Amino acid sequence: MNDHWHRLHPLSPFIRTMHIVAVAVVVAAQQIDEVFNAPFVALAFVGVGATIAASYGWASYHWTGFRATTAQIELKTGVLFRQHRRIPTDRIEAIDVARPLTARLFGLVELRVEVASGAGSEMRFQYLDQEDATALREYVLQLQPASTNAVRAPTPDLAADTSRVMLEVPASHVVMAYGIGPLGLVAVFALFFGLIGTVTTSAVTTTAAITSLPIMLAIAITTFRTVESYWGFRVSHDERGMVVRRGFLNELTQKVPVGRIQGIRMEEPFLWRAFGRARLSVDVAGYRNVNVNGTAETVVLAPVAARKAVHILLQDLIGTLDIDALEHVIVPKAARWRAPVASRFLSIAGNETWAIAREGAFRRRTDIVAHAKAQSIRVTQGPWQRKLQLATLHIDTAGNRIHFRALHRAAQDAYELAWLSRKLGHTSH
Amino acid sequence: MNEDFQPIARAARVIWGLSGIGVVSLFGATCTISASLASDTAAIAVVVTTLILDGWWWWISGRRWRAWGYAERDKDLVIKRGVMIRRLTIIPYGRMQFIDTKQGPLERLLGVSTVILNTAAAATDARIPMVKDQEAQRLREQLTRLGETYATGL
Repeated sequence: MNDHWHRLHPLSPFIRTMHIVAVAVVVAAQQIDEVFNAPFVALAFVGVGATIAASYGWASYHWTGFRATTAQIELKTGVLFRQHRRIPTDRIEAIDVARPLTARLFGLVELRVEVASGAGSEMRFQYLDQEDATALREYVLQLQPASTNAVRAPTPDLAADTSRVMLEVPASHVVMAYGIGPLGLVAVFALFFGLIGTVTTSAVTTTAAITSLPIMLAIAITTFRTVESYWGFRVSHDERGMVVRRGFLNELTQKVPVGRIQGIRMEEPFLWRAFGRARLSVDVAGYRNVNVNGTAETVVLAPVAARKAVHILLQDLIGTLDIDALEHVIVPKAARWRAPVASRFLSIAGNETWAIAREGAFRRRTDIVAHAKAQSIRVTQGPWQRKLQLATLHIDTAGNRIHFRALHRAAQDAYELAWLSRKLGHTSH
Repeated sequence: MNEDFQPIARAARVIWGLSGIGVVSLFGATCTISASLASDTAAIAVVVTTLILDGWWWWISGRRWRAWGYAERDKDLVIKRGVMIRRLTIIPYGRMQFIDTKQGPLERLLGVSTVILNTAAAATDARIPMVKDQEAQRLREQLTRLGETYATGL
């Protein structure tokens, strides 16, 4: 990398507009009779279309470019609506490699540079070839401060991952964990309407069946996309930290900057617990990992894995601390009046570095936050809680989702823990 | 919790009190006019109710005002507030990203402003309303300076 402007891959405009081309071809195919009736008009249409497409492609290729200097990365995009975005290198949170299906056909990849701020602030390089992508990624990573990248080893070839594999999730487990529930629901619905249909064929049931069809379809699509995104899930460990690789149609490689992790979440849904399975995710500061529904999400380190495997992953994040060996303190009896069911499943634990909160009857959730990562510590006490001498303690982090929340503690404990957490927070760094 | 909390300016009670009383009184006045068409007793009853509500609001504003407090400790700022829902917020100086001050027209008239503290956490919601302009100025400069002194990465 030097101070020159670089271009994206020449095929990029074509790949980006491939779906439009596909639609055009389909539309044209439907007019096939007209084509035979007036071949010259059709030819003229194709000619004009091809010319427009070619000039757009050329303009897009010509006007899109990026430049990386030590201070900032710049990306110019757009033909009609030009955009020039600059990202100071010290604000870069992460750099991911994505391989959407269309790009993969041509052996290209997409680089995503994530920044610590709100929506749409990331930079997408669509598309680069392996070599350029590796060079740019390498360049950005070596600019990162030492705290986020302890050792600066050369980036391994994106295709051949030689690092130590920590976790591999078989596709069958993903299908079982995420597929069976929703698809079972759809099947039950279908069966229900089918049975009713055999008994009576009133207009009402037909309407109900038809109106529920889009819902079932939506469930099926969401399920498919979830399963697809966790397909071939693999967490490996290289010299820089953790690398997550996942996805079937859209292969995604995420590097997890361990030093920037704000919170860790382990989830154990009711049914999974029977099989000793858990899900592990982390919240990285300012990192916008957008899920299929478009909402900001956490970075998944294990979509579904045996508790033992999750604990091995956890060791990389929180050291030798065994969260099951700690004493999980439950809430006082008075909390039953405030939350009769939920309070039975509330507990907190911790040591001088970590605060751990557990809640959830059906879906057990364990959130782990470092005292030193607290952006603010709050104690809140509603009117009911005051009557019962209870209070809730929050440790807010810079993450999107994961914060420490200790609901309904004894009021005095909540205040004491707040001061304690604060003290531990500023002595440990 | 044995901190010495600084109270916010008395203007808070005046501003919160008067804005509530203004709304209640306006509503009361309209109701009084309608009621006076029916009977004088009804009108008097409405006036008395309005006055009681005004008094009650003034009392509430006083409690709200007194509930607010802030303490500048060695390495963090502590803010307490709330009558119905009590809240205590501890913000390490090093976590403050930037400090804003804000002033509405009524606040300008009484020479007070609101100091808003921004951290990287969305849930923090830390502000100190109705501090005297001079104090707000001092707080902003002091907090910005301390923020730079103790600055820590994410």
